[in-house]
Amino acid sequence: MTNNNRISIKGISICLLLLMSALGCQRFIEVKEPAQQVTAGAVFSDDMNATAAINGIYSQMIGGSSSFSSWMTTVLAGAAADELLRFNASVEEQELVTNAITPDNNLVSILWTSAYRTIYQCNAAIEGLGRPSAVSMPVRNQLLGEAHFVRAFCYSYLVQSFGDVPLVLTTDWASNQGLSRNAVAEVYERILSDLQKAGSLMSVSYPSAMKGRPNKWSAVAFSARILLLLGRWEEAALAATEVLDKGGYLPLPSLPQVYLANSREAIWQLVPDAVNYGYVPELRMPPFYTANVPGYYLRPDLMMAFEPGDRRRSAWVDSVQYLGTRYYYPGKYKSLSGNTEYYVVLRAAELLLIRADARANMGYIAEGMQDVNAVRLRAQLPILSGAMSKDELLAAVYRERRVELFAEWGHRWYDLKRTGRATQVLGRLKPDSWQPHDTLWPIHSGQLVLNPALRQNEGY
Amino acid sequence: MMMRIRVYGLVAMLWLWGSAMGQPLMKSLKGQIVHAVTQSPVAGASVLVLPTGAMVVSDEQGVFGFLQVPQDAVLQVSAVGFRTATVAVNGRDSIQVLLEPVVAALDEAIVIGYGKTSRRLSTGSVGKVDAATIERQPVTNVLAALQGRVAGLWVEQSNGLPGSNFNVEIRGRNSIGGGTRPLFVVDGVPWMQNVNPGSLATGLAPNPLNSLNPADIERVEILKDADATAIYGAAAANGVVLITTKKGGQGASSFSVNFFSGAGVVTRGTPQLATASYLAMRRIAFALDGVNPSVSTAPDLLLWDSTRYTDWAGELTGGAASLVNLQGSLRTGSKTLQVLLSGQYQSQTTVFPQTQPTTRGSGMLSVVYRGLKDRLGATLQLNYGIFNIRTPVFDLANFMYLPPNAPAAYDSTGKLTWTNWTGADNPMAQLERRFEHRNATLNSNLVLDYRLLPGLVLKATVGYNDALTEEYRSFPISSKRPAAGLTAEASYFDYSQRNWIAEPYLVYNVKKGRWKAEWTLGASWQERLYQSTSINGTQYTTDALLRNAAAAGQLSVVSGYSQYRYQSYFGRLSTHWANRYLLNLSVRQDYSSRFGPANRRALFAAVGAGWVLSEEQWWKRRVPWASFMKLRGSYGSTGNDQIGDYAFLDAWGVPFAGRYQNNLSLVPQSLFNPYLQWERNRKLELAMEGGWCQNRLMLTVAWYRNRCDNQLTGYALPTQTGFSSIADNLDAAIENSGWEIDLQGTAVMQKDWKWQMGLNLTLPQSQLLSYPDIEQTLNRFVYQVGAPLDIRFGYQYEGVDPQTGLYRFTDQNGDGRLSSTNDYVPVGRIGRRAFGGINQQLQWKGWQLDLFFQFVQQTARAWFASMPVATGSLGNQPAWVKTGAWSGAGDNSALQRYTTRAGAATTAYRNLQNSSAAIVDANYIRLKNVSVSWTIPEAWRARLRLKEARLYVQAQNMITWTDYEGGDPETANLRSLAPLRMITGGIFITL
Repeated sequence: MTNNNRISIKGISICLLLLMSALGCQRFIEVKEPAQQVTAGAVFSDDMNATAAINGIYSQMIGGSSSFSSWMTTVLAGAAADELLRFNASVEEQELVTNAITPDNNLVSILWTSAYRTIYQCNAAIEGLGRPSAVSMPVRNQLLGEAHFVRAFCYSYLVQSFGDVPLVLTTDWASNQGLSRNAVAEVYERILSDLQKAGSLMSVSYPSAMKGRPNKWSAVAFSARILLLLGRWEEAALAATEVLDKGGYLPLPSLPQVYLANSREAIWQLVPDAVNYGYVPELRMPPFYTANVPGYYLRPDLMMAFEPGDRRRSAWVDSVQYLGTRYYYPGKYKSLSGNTEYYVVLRAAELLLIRADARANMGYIAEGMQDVNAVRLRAQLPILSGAMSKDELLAAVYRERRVELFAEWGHRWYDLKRTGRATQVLGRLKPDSWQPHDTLWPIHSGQLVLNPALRQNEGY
Repeated sequence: MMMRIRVYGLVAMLWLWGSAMGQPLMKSLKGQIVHAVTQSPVAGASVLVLPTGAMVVSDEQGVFGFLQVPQDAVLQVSAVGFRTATVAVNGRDSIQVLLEPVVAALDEAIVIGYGKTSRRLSTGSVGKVDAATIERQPVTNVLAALQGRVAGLWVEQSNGLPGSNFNVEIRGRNSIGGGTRPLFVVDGVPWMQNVNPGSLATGLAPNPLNSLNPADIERVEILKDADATAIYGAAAANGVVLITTKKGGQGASSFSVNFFSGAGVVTRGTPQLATASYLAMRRIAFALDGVNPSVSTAPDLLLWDSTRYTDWAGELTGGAASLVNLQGSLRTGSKTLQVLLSGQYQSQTTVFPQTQPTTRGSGMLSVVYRGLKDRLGATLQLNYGIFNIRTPVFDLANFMYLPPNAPAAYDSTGKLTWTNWTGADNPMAQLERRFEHRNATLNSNLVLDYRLLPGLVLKATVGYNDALTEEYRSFPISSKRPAAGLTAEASYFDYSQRNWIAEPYLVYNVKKGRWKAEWTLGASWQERLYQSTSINGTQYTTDALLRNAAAAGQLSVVSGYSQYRYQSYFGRLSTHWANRYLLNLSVRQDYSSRFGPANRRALFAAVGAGWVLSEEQWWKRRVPWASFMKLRGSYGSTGNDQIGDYAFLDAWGVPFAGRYQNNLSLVPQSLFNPYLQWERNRKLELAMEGGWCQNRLMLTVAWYRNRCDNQLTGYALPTQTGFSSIADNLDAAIENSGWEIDLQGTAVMQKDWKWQMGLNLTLPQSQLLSYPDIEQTLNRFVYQVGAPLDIRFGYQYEGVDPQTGLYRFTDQNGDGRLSSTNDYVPVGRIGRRAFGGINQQLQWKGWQLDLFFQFVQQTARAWFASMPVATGSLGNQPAWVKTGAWSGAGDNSALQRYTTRAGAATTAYRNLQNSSAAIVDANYIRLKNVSVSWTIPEAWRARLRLKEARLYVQAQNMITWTDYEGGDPETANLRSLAPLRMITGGIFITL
């Protein structure tokens, strides 16, 4: 009996073990990949998926509430400059309005984080498209061009906001996490070379419907902005001219049409969808949610900067009466749904003013006045005429930029810095709190902790 | 055979010894020891002769014998599982001793993983809460009934709203970044294992155990140490909660009905400023700020009626919640087949105005079969429950601190008012915003056992769990300030989770002499599938069609899918010699799909050992008053894989926005980490279990030390990498250690009188043992190596500056300004130093009174930590701010000056919330449960033809004693609904 028992147990144990090994361990726990996701290797394997990855760049840029490219640059730089005031400002928003930003300010940190998030996507695309795959050559060139273009675009906002920034050009997180800041000049060099490459790879025609993804002219137009910033006047003017002559963005459309979907003037528009629409900054400003007051409203001195008769003041500014006070807020975008207006990133009027600026600096006063006048005419303002000195023309260009590009991508803030007038203008407006080092924003204290190779900007 | 020889040998020696002494009045004695109830012989009982000290052990027929026994001797007979009997010989030469069985706590079955044990033989640490304890408490979730009941188990209700979640921790928090939830196993099936699908609820996700009716639960076992949990391997690092549902029993058919109903109110209100003092505070604030109030900054001073007073706390949370519960159950059972069928319906509301009921309907079926000559057994447990939550989207307690003179919420026609609501919105509009959650869960489990050979049983457990949740949340136009072109939003979130588990295993019992051993060997396969669809609709132009997604102007859809697979082999050897020396070895090999391809396998093992001193003869002789004494210890490892599915993959997915220009878009969502693997928790425990006075007093003292390393965490990356973290194992270690004391006593045990009491006490400690390069991580202001895990960093508070009237903090680096980077220091802990419970049960004839006190020694956030605006700003404050605020230069005050605007004073207030002053004692003692029941006397019952009838009154959270300022000490948040004080009355009858 006892022996029989033993044998049976042995037999049963063996059976059980056989059963176990038959079912296998590793095979059982190999699960299907998540059906709503794909792995990196599969993404850049064909035209369809690779294009989706590039679309993902724009989705992220316009999507969500926390992206430098959907609304934060406009409102944060607008508040830091002399454009916008915040109704019921939070402590962090107030820090921007008074330029007393602390390294703990999370809003400013979002600009850094979201730009680098987009840069990762661009780097992943550049790496993925560099590997042999089934992606066709025309698609590969266009996508590579877009990735280089967007990377340059992101770096330009980083370098203008923070000064020296780490140049992250791969997806290797292990080495990227320790990179220190590269000098401003080095970053601009990379931006220009990326734009150069983008311009040579991308097609003149837009790769998707309307102007939702950039074309060759987007890269050239953006390089005009960077060249102007670097004081390379001739190249800036040449680039602007190339786009204005060949791109078909002129003549400037009437004021109410500038921000419409597929507006003639627009060189690149990000396309918000229903979900993202509420996050586009200019759309957050009208009082369409619960409060009767705009979130951000225009500073009185910006209102006074409009010359009498400037049609932009009526076409692009709205107002609301609230408890006895009239609040003016940006009204460039009117619609509450995403179907009719797209978010303009680059447009021809800016190029005209870039060229005017460059031409003035080169001493081509009459040509420069002509460009300014093209913008003034649309606003139904009297044209500049008579003799102007270089400085007078530059002053006119700056004035024009202020009222043409207000509450748009922080142009005013970056212009004040570019032209060295920040302390002069903002020091007068905010005498209690302005300090010269405020032109650069601080790197978030948390990033300094995570990457000891990073050094904080002067004054923080 | 051996035993009989040994007994005779002993008898022979005694005879020789006895005759050598030549004692008179000695004669031989034979006897038999018999079970007093079953009349079956009791083997292995020890018989001690007093006063000579001679001793024998009864044989398999219960027979014993002495050759020489003094005629006036007294026999003391003791055996495992029986009350010790004392019998006088009185000159007899043959004697029968009846032993009364004691189903003391000591020999009651304890459910453990893949088996059962008893307190006597267990080498592990297992806490238990039985059905009687659960049934005494008018709660809707079984977790609430566990609060304070088991040493080492911490259960905290996050919010008093019906259906809201619980934080459950067994022996502390073992993980920094991974999950800290124990494994919940209901009738052998893991319940919603490690899933956190989220919720449309704004505050707290509903608890997954909501659909389980507490009254269907027979027992809950809490497995704590390595010995008890290692058999669950990688799922058990945080301990295991085993829930066993009820089964039918043998006996005549019976039908029971239980009905109760009651009401609940908030436990502890906080008085607020009355209008006059509120407005005075505001005026002073404006004066000190040097600002003229405007309508936009001070509607309370300039726009609203300065004589008006509304008690907003009363308006919003001052109502009475109702609770109604009806349960019926039918039992019938023969020796071969036992059936239990029960159903329940429960409806509860909350303390908000116009509250809608949250309901549960549930049913269960239990079928137990045993037959084929006792060789085959089958148990089927089926449980189905539907839980419906209906609440406003936001906890209305959020809005309690409105200015007391804010306008009336409704106009004379009963419509919501909007005009004059400046700087604040009408809180009653929140009632229009609905949150609904419907969870339907089927839990089924079939256990088959077949005796292949004597002692060898093949068992198989097959379980299936299917949970379907539907959620809906609306923001209708009617809840918004009227304006042109308003639209409404609605969200719909449906998800399903399906788990199956199959576990065949063999159990082999062998007995060799006084050795007993049980081998368990088995395998486990589990799979969980999760699928979800989340639809977000906006731009509805009418509230009437909010339930129809097609009526939305814009829709966005997000889908979710994940698969989790888990496979294990496990084995256990439980053995003991003569109930005296205990040894338990368990081992488990696990494979989980959650980890990187390089690291999917892990082995966990534990050893437990015990020594029952009271089984030693010398103990019985020398310390007979200590009826039970066991020393035990265990050591072993368990794992944790609570990091979510697919965390190791470099996955690209569809972003929230979905598409770009109506084309598919993909974004990177995580970084690849092929080495991602288990968190490991190594547990050590040493314990003493003792019983005195026939085990009427039972004491357990345990010391444990758990060390958890290889921490699963999001390793923080600087965001220049494109990500803020990567899922990784961090070489950090956490230690949780502590003492647990459990005392159960029966003070009075008479026919009509019974008085039982119990006490449990936990003294927990935690320590971060190591954390590499913590200075270079964001956790450097969260944790400190060598310090407890619940440490808090902040500014060191120095008091109110008499000159500026602002809160002052230590500028640690002396650079003249405060920043978290430079000036944060450890300022205290937020957590528990000690907790436990005391219960008292008094029975007198048909009456029974139960009292349960819960006590917690802890520190918590001070009241102002939950008040978002600085004192003096728009919004009411607790009444105590009326005095103590700084009023002018040189004033030494407790509170800083009132302020109304962003500036230095508001910054100082914000710093105060993150300072040493924000951590305060929040110790409390709570009369958690009172239950009085009266069983209707037999005679009356007979007349009414009832087998059983009982009337009862029960109360939960009855009285709270605390010095904590700021609402209920359990939630420690002035603006959140605390668990309610609930009082119910009910009747239970059995036909």
